[in-house]
Amino acid sequence: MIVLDHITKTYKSRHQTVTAVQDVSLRVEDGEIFGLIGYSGAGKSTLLRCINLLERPTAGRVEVDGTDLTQLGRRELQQARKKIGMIFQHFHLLNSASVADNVAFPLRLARVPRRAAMDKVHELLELVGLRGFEKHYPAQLSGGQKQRVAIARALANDPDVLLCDEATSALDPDTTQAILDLLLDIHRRLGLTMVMVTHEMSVIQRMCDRVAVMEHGKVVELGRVADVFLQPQHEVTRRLLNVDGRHRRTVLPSHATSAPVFEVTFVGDMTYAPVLAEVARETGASFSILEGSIGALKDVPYGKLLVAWQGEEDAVAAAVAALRTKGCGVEERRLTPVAVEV
Amino acid sequence: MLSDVVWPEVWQASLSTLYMVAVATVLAVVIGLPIGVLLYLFSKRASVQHRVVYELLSVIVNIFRSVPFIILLIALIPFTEWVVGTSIGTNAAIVPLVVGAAPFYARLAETALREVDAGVIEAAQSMGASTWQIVYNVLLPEARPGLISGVTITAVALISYSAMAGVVGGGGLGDLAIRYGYERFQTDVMFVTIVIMIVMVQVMQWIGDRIVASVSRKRSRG
Repeated sequence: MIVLDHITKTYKSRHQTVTAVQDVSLRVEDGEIFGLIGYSGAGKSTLLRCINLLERPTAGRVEVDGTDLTQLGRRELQQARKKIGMIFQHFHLLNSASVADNVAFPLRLARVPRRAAMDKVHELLELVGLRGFEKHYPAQLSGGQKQRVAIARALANDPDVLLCDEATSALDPDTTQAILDLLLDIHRRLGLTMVMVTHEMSVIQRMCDRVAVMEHGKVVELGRVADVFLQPQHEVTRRLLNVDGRHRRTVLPSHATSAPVFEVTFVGDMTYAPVLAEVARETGASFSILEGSIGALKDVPYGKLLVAWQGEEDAVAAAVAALRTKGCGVEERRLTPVAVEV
Repeated sequence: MLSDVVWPEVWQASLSTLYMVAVATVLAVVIGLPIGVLLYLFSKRASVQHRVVYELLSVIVNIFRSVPFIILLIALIPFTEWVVGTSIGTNAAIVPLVVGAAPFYARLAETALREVDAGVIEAAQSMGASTWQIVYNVLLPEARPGLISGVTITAVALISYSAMAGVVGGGGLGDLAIRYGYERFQTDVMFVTIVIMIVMVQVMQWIGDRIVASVSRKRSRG
């Protein structure tokens, strides 16, 4: 378990003091994949780097598996760091070392005998899908392959925690998917705790159990990904999710402009149940779906539909009530029609 | 043409130059590299004490680099006598050569170390590496091409420094050129020594470049 307790990090230069992280407290459970999201400069990377004390917090306590890292001496901290793996946006491999030597590097630091280290290296390269690349050098690898080497290296000391600092931000979309799949696979097999920093909501959606949204060094929203994703509260979260549709153009059919429009959200198995049809039959109201998406948050199916209800006022009210009873989220939306040239 | 040239003497002088340059280069690197590493490490630390140590070290290095070599050669005579027991001869010339070249190499090493990607060092820190593990396993291997070109530059500079070794009876090609070529007006001796020194510089540069290329090859794509 990782406990961040009232973490503050300020940078002082001659002219000004910059607060990168301001009094953040949070707790990451064992085996959880926890996301930190925000725009650049929000302090998410700084907070992540406070976990292994690459950045020493100006104030606050960092506890990993019951040990307060801020209280450790230099040697003890080096020892503790061996159990906290980390991967980076730009991989940070040793250019002068082969793939095998890069992966063996943390083992060498821990003075593991060469033969045992090489056995471990082969096992790790197998795990990340790079068997046969032992003698290659980083310059000969693609970005995705470099990140695989970095992941293997981060896992060499069998860490309990893996920190991912924008691990897929330098990769193309296909490679990003492949690396995220690999991380999920590793998480399933090894059950380690992961903390991921990203500015992409899709990464959170796909990987994380819980997420903290950061802005100006503070956590502005925190919760289960499904909750944050489907019912975003803070303005920054809504912007990250593009809820208010600055780039979205919902084309309204002329008859729907007067009808009340609701955003209906489903989570879990009910996503695939004929809920809307049932409610329509029971209440006599009819509906049309204006827009929507159905997908998955990690392993949980979800649906988010923009539905216009037509019919008697009572019937529509009954339909909304019925949807709520069945466990859907229902929220009225006012849409401004977009003029569309046909 | 070349009638005045006493070839055995030229041969002997060439060997003396090579000997002085070789020994001085090795010692300059052995002494200069740790100083370069310290300069690098202290420049990276944020604390005031570290900055002070860095500035102090930096000033000392600069003092040795700014004194003209011919002055250093003479000023160091008592020190040389204390180290090798005499202030005359080839071995005595090596002492000021090392004192002059070690700070020079220290600066070149510091510059080469600065080129190492800070992210890689950070990655090593995140794996629990100690400072000395980072120096040995990250900084030195990653900076190797720059450190080796620094050795080449130092060796070439030492060929030119060693020409002044005649002042303390160190011998070598420079000494030959001054004694025969300048003092006895034997221009052909001067000409021969210069040609030999040019060839030495070229060969050293070529060897250095080859070594750098061979350590860099694996790092570049292909």
